[in-house]
Amino acid sequence: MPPVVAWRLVLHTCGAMQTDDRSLRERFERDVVPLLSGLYSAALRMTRNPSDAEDLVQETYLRAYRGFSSFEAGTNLKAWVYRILTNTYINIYRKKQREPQMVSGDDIEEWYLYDKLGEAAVEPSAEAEVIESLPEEEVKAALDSLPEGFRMAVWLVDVEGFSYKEAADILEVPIGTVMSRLHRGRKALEKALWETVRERGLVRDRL
Amino acid sequence: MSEIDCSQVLIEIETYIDREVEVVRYEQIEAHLELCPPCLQRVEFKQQLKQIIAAKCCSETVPETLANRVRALIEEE
Repeated sequence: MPPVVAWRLVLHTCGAMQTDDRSLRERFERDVVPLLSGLYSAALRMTRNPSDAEDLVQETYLRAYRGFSSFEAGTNLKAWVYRILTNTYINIYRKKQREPQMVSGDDIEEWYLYDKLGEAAVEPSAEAEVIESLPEEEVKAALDSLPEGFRMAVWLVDVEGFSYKEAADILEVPIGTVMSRLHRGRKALEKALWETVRERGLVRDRL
Repeated sequence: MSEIDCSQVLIEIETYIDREVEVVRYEQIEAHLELCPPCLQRVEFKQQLKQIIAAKCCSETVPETLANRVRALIEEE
């Protein structure tokens, strides 16, 4: 093959690769960059620290971008990115933060918050309004107070709207584990919210 | 006629709210709720609680530094 032809071939191949890279980058910017706000919120709930959350999100984007060509188009992109976020968090941050073992949450009654508000003579129709009146920061703090496994299950299903199956894939645990953590996490959250309601004097306490 | 009783509805309340029950079950629970105000009240409370938590926890403002860092890493890669 004469050198000139070979050189053209190289140029041609490079051109094709650049086009692929460009379209990949465009798709990434169109589909993954808009998830930034949700990912940052999730990272904040995971790390409970703005500076760690920023680093976690940046690392997640780096890994997602590098692995983006292996993402199967047509499958759930949001779940794919959240799985990278979760894995990155587990790899980097969980080692740093030694958390006490997960509390069971089994000692909290099934209708904890509903019953407590009822005991405090809040009309059933107004019970949710008491919680609605709490400032965002207080609700976030209540969620942050949950052990990590509970917090993530509640976050993924209630805040991000993932299905049990998606949450199970993201966390790499069986669906039954997601359901159990979600159930106990919600009870623990109800207890934390009730304590906040009481501390703020939003209800008359009959204890 | 409602096909399931209160205790069963209360057991399945979370999967119902999360829309993780099968269609037939979902309709049975709906039918029960139409006839049972106490169960409906509990379901509505749990539903509202879920919505309130979602609404109050999702609105973090992304720091400009982070948005820039993400842009920069895509540029650099």
